[in-house]
Amino acid sequence: MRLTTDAEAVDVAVAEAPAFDVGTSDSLAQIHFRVAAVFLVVGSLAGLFLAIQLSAPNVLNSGPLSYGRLQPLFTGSMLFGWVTIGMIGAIYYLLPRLTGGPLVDERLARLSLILVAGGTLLGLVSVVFGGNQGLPLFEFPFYADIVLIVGLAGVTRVVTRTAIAHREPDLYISVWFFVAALWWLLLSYVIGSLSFFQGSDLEVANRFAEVGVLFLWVVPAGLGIAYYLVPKLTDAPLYSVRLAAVSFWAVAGSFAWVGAHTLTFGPAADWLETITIVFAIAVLIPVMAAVANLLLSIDWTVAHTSTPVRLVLAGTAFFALLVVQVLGLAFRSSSSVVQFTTWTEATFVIVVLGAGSLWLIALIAHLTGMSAGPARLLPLGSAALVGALWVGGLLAGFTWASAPRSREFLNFGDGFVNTTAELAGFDTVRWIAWVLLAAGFIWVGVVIVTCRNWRTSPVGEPSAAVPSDEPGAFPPVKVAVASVLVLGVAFVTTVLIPALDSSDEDPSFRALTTRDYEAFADDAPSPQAIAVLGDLGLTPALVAEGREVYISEGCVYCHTQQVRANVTDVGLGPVTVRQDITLSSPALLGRVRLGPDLAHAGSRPLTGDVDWVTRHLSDPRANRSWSSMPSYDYLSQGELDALAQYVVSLQ
Amino acid sequence: MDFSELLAAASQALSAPEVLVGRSARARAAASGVAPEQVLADWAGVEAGAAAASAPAAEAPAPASEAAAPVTAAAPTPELDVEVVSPQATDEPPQPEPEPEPEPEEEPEEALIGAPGLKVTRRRSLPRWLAASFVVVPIVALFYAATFASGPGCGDGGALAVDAVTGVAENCDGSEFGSRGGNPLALGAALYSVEALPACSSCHGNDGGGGTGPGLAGGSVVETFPACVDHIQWVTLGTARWREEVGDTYGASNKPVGGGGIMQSYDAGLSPEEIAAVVLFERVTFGGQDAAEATADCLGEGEAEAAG
Repeated sequence: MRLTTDAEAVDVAVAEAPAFDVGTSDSLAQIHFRVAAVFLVVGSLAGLFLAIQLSAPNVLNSGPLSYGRLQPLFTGSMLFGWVTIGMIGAIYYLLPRLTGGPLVDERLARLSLILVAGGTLLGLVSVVFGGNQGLPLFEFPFYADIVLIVGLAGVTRVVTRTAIAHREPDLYISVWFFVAALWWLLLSYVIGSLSFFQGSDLEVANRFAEVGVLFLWVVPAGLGIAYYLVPKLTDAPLYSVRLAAVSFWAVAGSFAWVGAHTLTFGPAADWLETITIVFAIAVLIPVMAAVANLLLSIDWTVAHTSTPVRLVLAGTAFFALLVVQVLGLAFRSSSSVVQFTTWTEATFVIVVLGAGSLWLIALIAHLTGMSAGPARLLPLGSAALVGALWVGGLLAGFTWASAPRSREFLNFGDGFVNTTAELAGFDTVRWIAWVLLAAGFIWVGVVIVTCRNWRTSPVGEPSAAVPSDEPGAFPPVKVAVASVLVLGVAFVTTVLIPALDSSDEDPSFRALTTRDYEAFADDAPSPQAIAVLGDLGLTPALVAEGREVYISEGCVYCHTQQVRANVTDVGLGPVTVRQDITLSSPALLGRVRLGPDLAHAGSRPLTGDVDWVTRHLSDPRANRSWSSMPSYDYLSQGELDALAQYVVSLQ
Repeated sequence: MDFSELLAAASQALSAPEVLVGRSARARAAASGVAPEQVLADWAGVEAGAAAASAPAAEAPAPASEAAAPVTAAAPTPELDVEVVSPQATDEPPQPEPEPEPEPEEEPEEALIGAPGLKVTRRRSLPRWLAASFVVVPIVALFYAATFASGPGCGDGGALAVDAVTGVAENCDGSEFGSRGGNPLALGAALYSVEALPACSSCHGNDGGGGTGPGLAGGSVVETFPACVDHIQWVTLGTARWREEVGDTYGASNKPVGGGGIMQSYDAGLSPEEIAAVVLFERVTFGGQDAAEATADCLGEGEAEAAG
């Protein structure tokens, strides 16, 4: 039964320290939730349109809403707009309650919100109008990146200082997660958006940053919320604080090293692959520790009746799936099946739409008193989506891998019909799942925006949350320093040393490089380029322009330019080695083959013909009825021709 | 006993920090209308009389409600989202949760301490399966690092070799992938290391040195099967069907069937030509048989079998 609150508010710490008003930080948190809700609605609609376009490529297919531009709009608004701003709001709500002191520098917090939201908005608008950078998740142009980074730095400063100024004698475990997660987000975004590297090294750095913003921001920030909510809602302490501390250090010690798990069989060094696999196995530890702790803490009689508890449980279930997802991509044997299939796309769904969103919505449901209602659709939709991506990915992968043995090559040309047409059913499941997801998310967004009666429980409330065992040993300063150090060591071992390991700038004779394209644009092709392009009858300036179109239209979201030395890729031509891309930035290796690999498209019969490629781009289904490529007839004839010349130049 | 002593005692009994115990005790006291000392005494298991003597129940609630006032003003929302166990329970002495503990040796580490209003379940140690997995997982990871330190060898996990000049993926011996008919030895090599499902190398080793299955290297495979036709029949049937169709022993030295583990039947997975090719590869590469002699021996038989 519920009792009145006055007595509960009696609190030793608060009685001793001067009382403070959480009203302003609570309203700041609510503003964050409202801003995040707007991005949530935008991102949900983008996700729904994307899923529809896979089945019906011509729906809404105009320039700004074409697949390759909607994709960064979707990932950007969901990850940076919704989950990031929402979780920052959650942290602003929770920190004063966990530390017993007010937010330090609320003015900076307000300013940071404007910068984070403004930077994200600026980035989204520019990708939609053709500003893609060719680096998935970090597609925003540099000016949007700078605004966003300054905003994130402000948030990190506010949160770290608030944690350091804690008045509660005990430091709650969630505070560790919040402080560390924000530092990881900030540093990962800096690494991902600023191109320190080129070629293969840039791809490795991009994937390191991708893992940083997904596994080292969304996951730990969400776990911090879950570790607060479960004891709070079930009125019982966490099963084990020590186990929660284990999960914290294990998150820090494992996820940071798995950046290259999407680059298996790739151009990076073999020892980097081995490191990645070792740490991907170690991912089991934080996942088991956190999942076991939360499940053992939950009073199952409460779980049946409480919407927030059920949402936390659903988020935790998706977190558990992450082990399968990461190991499937990391191990060489399973990777040769699932890599480049739709399996790869499930990472974002599991982390952002599954675990991250559900943990965040659990807190919001607690604060708004939201009934379960259409929120039930969210776990259902995400599960259906992950199922379709996994099963469809496995079927496609096994089909591709078995084909070369019988001399059928299903990875390019008309062979692709076997996976595109026969697995079309999974695209149908995807858009049905997205109808559920979009309905649920939009409903949540409307609840957030229209909520007038937010719960503001008094400070000193976390009677059931449990402090970390040894607050003296790891105060917030040390947590911040340790989290930066861990990420730094991971960056050195998995990005910097591989980059220095073989820093030969000797492109193989097969490859054109970014420098070549720059020379093309200046109408001063290098001797090598003349040799490559001369016999093909291509115009260097057009090839350079075509590469720009390829990047801005987001072709990289469906086409890889990477041939691996495994059975699946036999028939695709020369294997992509480090020297091929060492002078290309971005290298446009790609992650998913919703369409054929294009690494050597120009050497193949039909895709080696500029006229055919131009016709195919403007009306894909005239040539191949089963194609799911959008029609690029919204591009000018000049752009189409340039794009076709670029494709043919890929020898 | 005064408040602080009782708090220390209750805190120790519950294995929970004093801050939390004190806060919960005051909340419970105000909710149920008794002195906080009384609540603490209940939790600490001290005689109620001792507590009552030092702190009369009638006086106790006053400081609690005074202290509550400023905080309540700061956060006026009346609703509280902390659920407290029903007040009836407060009259009862603290009881352990009725959770059966069949294994006595676990009691000290998994003592479940229950108190009305403060369900502290504080465990000192992790569940054994979890603690064990925290040891096993790093060992597996380190084992992986030690085994595959230099990346995949050709044939492992579907990996192929790469021609240094053309960059084309190829079989481990450098022949073109899937070059059927032209070079049976190369076909056999590809089947042995990668293509057969499951690949022969997964049990007999990449170099024929053995593993789950017996080793083939050093001529032992030819000693066991002096005639290629027997070797082919063995690979075709596997242990189960060999026992049904042929007998309980196999090979020239009459080895017991199943003595070296279970051999898969490749009848359905590979064509007769493919079985002949992989047998040829094993006999030449691991058995040390002359290539021309083995080819005549195996492929003649293989073609005859395919025709029949």
